[in-house]
Amino acid sequence: MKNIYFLSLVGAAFCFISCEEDDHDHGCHECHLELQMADGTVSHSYEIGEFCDDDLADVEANGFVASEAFDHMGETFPAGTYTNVHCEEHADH
Amino acid sequence: MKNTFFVFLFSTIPFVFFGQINGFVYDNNNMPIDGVDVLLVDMDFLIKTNDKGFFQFDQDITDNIYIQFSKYGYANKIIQYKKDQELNIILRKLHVELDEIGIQEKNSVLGNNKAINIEHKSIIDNFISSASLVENITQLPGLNSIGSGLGIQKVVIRGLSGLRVVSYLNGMKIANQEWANDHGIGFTDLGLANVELIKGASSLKYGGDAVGGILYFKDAPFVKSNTPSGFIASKFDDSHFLFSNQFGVKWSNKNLYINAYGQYSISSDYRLPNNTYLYNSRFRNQSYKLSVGHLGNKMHNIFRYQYHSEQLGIPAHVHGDLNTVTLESLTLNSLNFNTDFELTRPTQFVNNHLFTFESKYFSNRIKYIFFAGHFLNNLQEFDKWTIAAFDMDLSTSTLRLNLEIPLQHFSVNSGMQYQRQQNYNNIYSRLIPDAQSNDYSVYTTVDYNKNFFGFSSGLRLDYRELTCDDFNYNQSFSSLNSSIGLFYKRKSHISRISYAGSYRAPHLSELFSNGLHHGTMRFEIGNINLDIEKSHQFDFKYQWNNDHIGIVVNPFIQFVTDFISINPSDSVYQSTYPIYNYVQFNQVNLSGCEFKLHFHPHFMHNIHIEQSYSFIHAVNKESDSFLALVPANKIKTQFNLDLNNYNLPLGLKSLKLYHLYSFKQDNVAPYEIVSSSYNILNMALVLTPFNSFSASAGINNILNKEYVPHLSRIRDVAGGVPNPGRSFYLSLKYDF
Repeated sequence: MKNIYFLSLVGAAFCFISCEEDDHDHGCHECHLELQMADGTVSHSYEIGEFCDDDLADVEANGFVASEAFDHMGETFPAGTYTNVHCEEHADH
Repeated sequence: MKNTFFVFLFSTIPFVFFGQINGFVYDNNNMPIDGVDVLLVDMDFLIKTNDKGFFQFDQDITDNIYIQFSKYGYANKIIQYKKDQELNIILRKLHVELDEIGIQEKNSVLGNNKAINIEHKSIIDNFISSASLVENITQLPGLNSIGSGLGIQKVVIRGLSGLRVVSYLNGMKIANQEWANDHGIGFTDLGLANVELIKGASSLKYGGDAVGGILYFKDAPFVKSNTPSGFIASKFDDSHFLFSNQFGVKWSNKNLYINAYGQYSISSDYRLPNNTYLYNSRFRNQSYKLSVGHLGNKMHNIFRYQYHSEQLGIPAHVHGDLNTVTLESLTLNSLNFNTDFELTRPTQFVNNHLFTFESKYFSNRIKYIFFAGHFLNNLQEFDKWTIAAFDMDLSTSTLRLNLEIPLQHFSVNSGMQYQRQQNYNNIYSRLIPDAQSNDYSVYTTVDYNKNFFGFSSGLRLDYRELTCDDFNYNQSFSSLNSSIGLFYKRKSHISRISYAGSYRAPHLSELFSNGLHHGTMRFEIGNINLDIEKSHQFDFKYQWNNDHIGIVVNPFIQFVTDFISINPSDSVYQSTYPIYNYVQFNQVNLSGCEFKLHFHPHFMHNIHIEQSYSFIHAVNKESDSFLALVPANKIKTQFNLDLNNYNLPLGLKSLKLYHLYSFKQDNVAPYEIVSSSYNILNMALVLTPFNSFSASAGINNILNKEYVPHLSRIRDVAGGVPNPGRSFYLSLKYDF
């Protein structure tokens, strides 16, 4: 009886060994800008590259700094800081 | 006043009588029944009869405590214990088992179940027999769920949900920002034994805000176990690639009893009928709970702690117009096992801590119950990886003192309650502000039972102070809730009629919301002018059964004035998120009927067929339109073939089929989408392949039907994201 009890506890421990505390693990993620287009629509397709760890935290908190003007979907956007940055992933595979 | 109370309390001590319990349980033919659950209700303690039908509890107990005898297939019996009473109990064999619709005599935490329409459901085997706690409960007529997959689910009672459906867990109200449809029930089936349910606000002891209904979840009772006993269980469900494990241990020494449990579950994205996977419907949860009871002769103290943590992906996250998004853009063609169990964004992180302490003191005539509870809920919602959209702590503390005074045919239940709730934002970004509320309540119920007639009536006075410094808001609300129920039994005919008048003060989310809520994909704006919502409900229930057929008819009507609702406007935030405003409708009427039929053919006693039909009609009288988010009418059918007596291979015990037919829902509010009808068929086998092992295997959505329930959280995205397709599950439990 005692053996069965301890075997069961070992089994239970094995089942729970995979418990991982979620660490809000950030890693690296592709980011894009949310841009207001002239026709009133919003574009989410301007990619600004991959950001990791502290850089990811910085771009999400403070926005993306475009050092020069850039073109997107036939429109020109001026240099400056763009705060609507999205780095969440979407279904793409 | 305080001195008077204590003098009264201790003056009763000399009249306490003690005794030790033992006795036998027989059937109608005087044959002993083994495995009967003998529950000492007031002590939350369970004994089972042996093969001679004998049971024994070797500890002194007081007079007047309730003992409930129950076994599946037999009519329950409840007695009130008297010292030196000979306990030879006869349980009547039932052919028609109407356990879940309250035709049987059962002790209820929620009140006198003869005069009030209280339903019970056993959930002790929920882990191995059901996909989730909510899916199991919602098989009852009149109940539905709002959700998206197994991760986010909550109960809807007769078309009402959220703040109007109050959940209690071992005496404590579960306040987990339940106002939103993306905030689930907040705990799992871990260690739970049963749930009691009232549709409507008839439970005055726990009532208050429960305009829609109340769910009371109870832990499994303590058992005598000098060497540790318990279980380990595992489940795999391939609809979500869900892996879930639980363990439980029970131990006792003299008067000390301990139950401890743990659970870990991890799931990926759920599979749609077209074999794609809904991205970010993944979730994880972890739970631990500990109950410690000291069951003395005249005083019982029980302390419980529960930790529940969950990480819930919020699926169907989109940018742009919800209607132009395609299903393909929300789904994966295949699962990558290395990455698709990982958390992504947006995700909710929920951490709940629940502490309860209950102390019961028994005098000869009066039972005193003191309850203290503290529930701490932390909710973080991340749209970005590193910055939470909101991060709130909601703490709820409750003190309750209750007296139960049994008289000859009457019993009086009276008490008072204080509850403090505090919402605190840990970051500047927020959806609802910091706020505090103090609730004070007093209540009294009187029950009368004699022979075949009974009634229950009661009053409850609630007073709430609500303050919010951000809005310079300081308001108080007071309300008087009442209920009355009548019960009459003649031969096999049972009738109940009840009235409940209930009042709900506006919640701080309804008053002060102002922000983007990613979980619901809308910008929500509160209304500080909201006032108390008032409800009047009439409920009639008729039951009849013979040895082979049982029938229940349960019509109801509910009038709600100043109904608080959240309504879409024609404005959009950030070109994506529709703006919703909290408003108050002058009057909303909800009416409907639930039917239940249990058929047990005479030629084959092993077959049980249960069918229920639930119909609901909800009208906003102010605009003369239908109310939004009202579930479609449903027919639920269960077929149960009991194979216990056939000695089949693998210890096959039963075969169960469950069929759900949901009618088309075209009684919709303005701008709400009509939902199509659908059929769902599930099958399950229950086995005991080896000694001490029990197992269950089944297939859900056998027909691989593509369907979108009317209450799906993601019905408005991409024309409606379907529920999971065909899937199988396998679960195994080992008892030691």
